Amino acid sequence: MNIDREEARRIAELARLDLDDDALVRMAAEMTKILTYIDQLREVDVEGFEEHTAEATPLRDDEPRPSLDRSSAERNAPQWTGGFFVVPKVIGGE
Amino acid sequence: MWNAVIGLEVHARLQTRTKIFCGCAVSFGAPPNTQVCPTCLGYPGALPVLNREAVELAIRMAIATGCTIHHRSIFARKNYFYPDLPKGYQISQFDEPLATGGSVNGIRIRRIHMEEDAGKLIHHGDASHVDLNRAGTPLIEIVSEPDIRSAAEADAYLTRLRQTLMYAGVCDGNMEEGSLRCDANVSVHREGEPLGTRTEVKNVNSFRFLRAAIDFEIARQIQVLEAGGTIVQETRLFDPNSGETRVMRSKEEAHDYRYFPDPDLLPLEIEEEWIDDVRTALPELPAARVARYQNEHGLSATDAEILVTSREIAEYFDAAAAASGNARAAANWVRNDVLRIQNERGACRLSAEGLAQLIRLIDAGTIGSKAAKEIFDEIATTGEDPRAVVERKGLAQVSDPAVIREAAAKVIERNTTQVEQYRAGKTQIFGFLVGQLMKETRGKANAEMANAILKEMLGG
Repeated sequence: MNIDREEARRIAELARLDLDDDALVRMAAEMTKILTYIDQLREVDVEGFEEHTAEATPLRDDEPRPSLDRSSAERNAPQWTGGFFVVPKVIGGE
Repeated sequence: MWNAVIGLEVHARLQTRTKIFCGCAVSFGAPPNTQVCPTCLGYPGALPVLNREAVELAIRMAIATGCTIHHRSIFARKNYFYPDLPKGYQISQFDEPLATGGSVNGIRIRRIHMEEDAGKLIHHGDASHVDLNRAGTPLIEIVSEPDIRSAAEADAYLTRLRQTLMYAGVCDGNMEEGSLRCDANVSVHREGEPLGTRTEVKNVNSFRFLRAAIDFEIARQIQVLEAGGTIVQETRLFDPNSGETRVMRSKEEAHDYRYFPDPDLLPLEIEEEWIDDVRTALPELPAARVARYQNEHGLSATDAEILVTSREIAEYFDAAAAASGNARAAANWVRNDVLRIQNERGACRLSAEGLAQLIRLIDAGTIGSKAAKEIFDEIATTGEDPRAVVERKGLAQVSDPAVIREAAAKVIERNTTQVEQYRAGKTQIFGFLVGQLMKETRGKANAEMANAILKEMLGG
């Protein structure tokens, strides 16, 4: 599979990455290489091998556990006020 | 002739004690960011572990809506950037949801899937404040097929859906607090023509807003089309203040979520046995109750609907109907008086057994309907046994023919003029004489008997 520069730009935009043209060209080449490798894996003949089915996700009881104390949450926040994380104003979203 | 085609997407918060993928408590109104942990804050390396109770509640709703529950479903990442979502993706279910293909109120359910809620943003000047207590709260999304044709039908569907969620103990149904949220997909087309382009209306979080938003959107689309315009596929936001919908984002701005299976979560597997256990434990649901009230008790559809409004009322009615042996009377008392008292005084203290007792007193002829109302109004507040009130206030009616006869004789003796008029054919004077008889017995004479005896003694 081939990823061109435009596709790389679109993926970068979705990931909110600001990449210049040189970086996009490099990324496109690297992504192409990764996907080509995956395509190569697909060509392997697996006839006769049993599929390994994934196990089920474990389930947890509905028992409350202590949350973080707020100062720990605050320590990891770039900006914080009155118990809230502060981010630049955003409107829209979901 | 225009037809509207409507589908609803309803998000219901599951009534668990903890979040869907971590042990943080879920409670409305806690101080901001006090119910957060590395998992729901999206710290690197923290792993989600699914809450069994959340799955069970989702199964409950799937059964209650007649959906097929899939023995294996997959959690997927829905990727988008918004600060209410610390991980940069929401864990949801995409192409392999928990359940598909049910129905509510004749409207088909396309799917029910599990997902996590996002946090809350409060906008302040040029900053937004983020509270992540709600992030990771368990939700189910219930997606209907576009089978709804009007705002009234949407209202009826959401009403039954909400009732069902509440009866089954899946969700508290509180729309004000956001436990139940609704988006509407609306399109219009001319009779006989293919379906029109749909718009999605968000933020219709009350029954009134839902009806207003749908009516507005239908009218808006028809107006655009009749003026020769076209409807563009877009997301619109309902503004409760203006009663209008306005563009939130167009199709071009639509998110590309790049869904993929969440590598942190293995497939959710649900054994048939688990489903059977949940099914067995389900209470009787509102739709089944409405049918039973009509078939077993001969109630009208309207009365039955009023009685199933809430599970508490329905169970109260069931208990009163069973204990009194008079379902019709119980239905009348509950729908007229118990609900009135609840509205007026906030609560009705009279137990179902107490109401049944009151009904039995009437049916046995011990008290008349007027006394019954008086007693009810009192015990609705005190919760007292109606028999005690009858005793204390001497409200038992007189049903002894000898006593009534004696009183009637006195009335006839004292009102010779009226009696003569009556006997001369002025029958409307009878009411006056009955009134005198009731007065004579201080209102306690069994009204039916008083009528019959007086009539007989007057020679009518």
